[in-house]
Parts: sequence; structure tokens; C-alpha cells
Amino acid sequence: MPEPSAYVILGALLFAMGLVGFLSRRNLIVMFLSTEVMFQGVLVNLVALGRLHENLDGQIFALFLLVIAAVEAGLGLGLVVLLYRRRETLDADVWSNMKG
Amino acid sequence: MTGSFALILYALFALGGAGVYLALPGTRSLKTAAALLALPALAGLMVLLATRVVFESGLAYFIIFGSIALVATARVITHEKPVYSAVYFVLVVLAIAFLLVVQQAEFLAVALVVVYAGAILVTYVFVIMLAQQSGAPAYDRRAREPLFAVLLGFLTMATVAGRVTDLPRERASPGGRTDVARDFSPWTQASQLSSPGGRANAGVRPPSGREQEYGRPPGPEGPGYDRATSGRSTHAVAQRDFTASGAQPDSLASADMGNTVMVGRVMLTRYVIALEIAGVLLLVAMIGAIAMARKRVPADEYVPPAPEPGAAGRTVAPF
Repeated sequence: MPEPSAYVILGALLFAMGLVGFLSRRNLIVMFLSTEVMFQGVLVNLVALGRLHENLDGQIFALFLLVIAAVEAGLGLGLVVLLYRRRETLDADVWSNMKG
Repeated sequence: MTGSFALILYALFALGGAGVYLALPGTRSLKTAAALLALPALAGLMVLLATRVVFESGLAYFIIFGSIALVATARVITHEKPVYSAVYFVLVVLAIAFLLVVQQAEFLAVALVVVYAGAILVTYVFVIMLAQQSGAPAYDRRAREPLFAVLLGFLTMATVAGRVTDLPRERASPGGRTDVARDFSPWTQASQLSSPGGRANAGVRPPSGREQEYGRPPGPEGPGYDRATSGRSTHAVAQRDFTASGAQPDSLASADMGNTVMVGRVMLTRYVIALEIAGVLLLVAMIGAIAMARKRVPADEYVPPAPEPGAAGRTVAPF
């Protein structure tokens, strides 16, 4: 049975680095790219754990996740464009009206 | 877990975290130091993980593409120019696609390249071109709370990695497990509970290549009856010898059927409802995107902050 722990850690590392990028960058587009990096980590996890169970469930899940990611990227970038049109900047900190 | 392995693992994580922290824009201008710290640390992590687990094949591929993916991810999140972040992300996607090919998920790898690198990343580049500022704007030259972010991410990762690799060593032997009932690691429990559809019920008959993946056709109980999880105890499953049933990793891509055929077969029979719902989701998203694009957005009465003194003439190193 193929052991997935190395791939799981790789997927978790990708996810964690995407998380670091999402928390620390201020550019809206780079924040979105970091969420896409998180998606890649989850993808690696799914396929590795699918191999552990030796059926295609992980890959099917990953394909649907790909659909979700594409949808989210499209709509999210549309929102980013609209936000940019309002404030003429991609800075995430200008939208901090509700910040304590 | 042996002490030396834990020390090396955590040291590599600390080095990688320090390198990523230094590489984040605005923290320090020690790009070479960051590169020297983070790159070997991340590559060393891959080598360490590869030596820790038993690979049936693709060891070198895992090390190479894993290192490429990690280093490119580090550049995605730390680069000051978003266009370079997008291009490095294409590199991440390609490395992940190669890793998927190594794991015999070829359809998913090609779908990843076509959809992610082909469509989503092109959309990202278009939006970056639409919304770019001249030069390096202030929000790209300084990361917010980089120390907190790096600590959060890498500490979480070190904990997870330490736990995942803290498994009994004898379980990792490739010769099959006949004493699985004694092993309480989560991996074997998961594999016991979720036996694949075909071999749990094949009895003494060795499964054909087709059944190894998709499972038996529905029996007299009807198509909704899942034999793997109904009426069979996990103890009976644990008695099976995993090697005798021919459960090799290559069974995922047997000689008479490729991965694409199997994915298509499973998707169109077992997951057809999810497939249709995904299509509806895409349609709804398309309608939403069109509705958003037609919206007339007036610019707010927002005065952008004055540029920092000296920002006009400052040059930003590309790497």
C-alpha cells in the first residue's frame, strides 16, 4: 500500500505557505494567488490519500475541487476588478473600515 | 520518533520559516541570506521526508518536484511583483502536475495544467495587467505582520509533520501487513475501514484489472448497495493479506485501462449527479461573472495616500 505521509506533508506545507502568503501580503491579487496555492496543497493531499484507499475517490474529489477553484478564481477576480475600480488601488488595507 | 530525526525536522522547518520571513517584502533586505536559508531548508525537507517513508517508486521524482514546488511557492508569496508571483505559481502547478503523473493520476495532471495553468493563471495575469499600478506600490513593498504569519504557518506545519511521521517503523515495510490487527496507527485503520469496492468481496477470486479499480457490478441487491461497508465487519477485512490480492500501486493504471478511462467510468456512473451539479455551478458562476462585469462602478471619493518620500526613484530588485 503506498504510504502517503510524505505527500501529505508536502500538501500541508503548500497549504501552510499559502496561508502565510494570505496573511502577510497586502496585494489583493497576491492574496488570491495564495488561496490558489492552498488549493494545490489540498489537491496533493487528496490524490495521495486516494491512493492510500486504492480507489479513484481522491481524484474525483480533486476534479470537482478544480471546478470549484476555477469558479472561485473567476468570480473572485471579478470582484477584485470591481474593488479596484472603486478605489484605484489593490491595497487590502483600504478596505479596513470595520477594523477595530 | 527518534530524537535526531525530530531535531533535523524541526531545524529544517525553523530554517525554512526564517528564510521565508526574510524573503517577505519589507522585512529586511537580505534576499541572498533568505535564499540561502530557505532553499536548502525546503529541499532538505523533501529529502528527509523521502528517506523517512518507503517509496515503491518515484523517489527521485518526489524529491525533485517537491523541492521545486516548495521553492516556487516560497517565491509566490514573497515576490514583490504580482506578475512574477503568477508566473512562479505556474511553476508550482507544473510541479504538482508532475507529482500527480508520478502518482498515476494522469487525467488529473493534464486537467490541472489545462485548467489552472492555462485558464486560471491567464485570467490572473489579465487582471494584474488591468489593475496594475506604476512601479512598485506601497502595498507590495511591505508585508503586514510577517512574523506572525510565518510563525503561524510553519509552527502548524512542524506540529503536523512531527505527528504524521511519528508512526511505528515496522508498518512502513513494503512486504504487506499480515498483523494489521495489532497496529493502531491511523493509516492502517483508515485502510481497513475503507476497503476498495472490488477486493473486499472478491473472496478467493483474484480481481481482474477492471474490478480492481471500479469494483464489481451491482449484484442482486441493487446498485445502491455498498458491499464494502454493509454487513462486513472490519475484523474480517483485517484478516486479509494485502499482498496476495495483487494490490500493487500499479493497479490504479492496469495494462488494459488507463487512468482517464477509469476516471471517466467512475465519474459517469457513480458520481454523475455531482458532475451535473458541477455543471450547474459553472453556469451559475458564469452568469454571476457576467452580471458583475456589466456593473457600472463609480469611483469613490477616496483620496489615495500620498506616496512615501523617495518612493518615486526607488528601484525594486526583480528577484
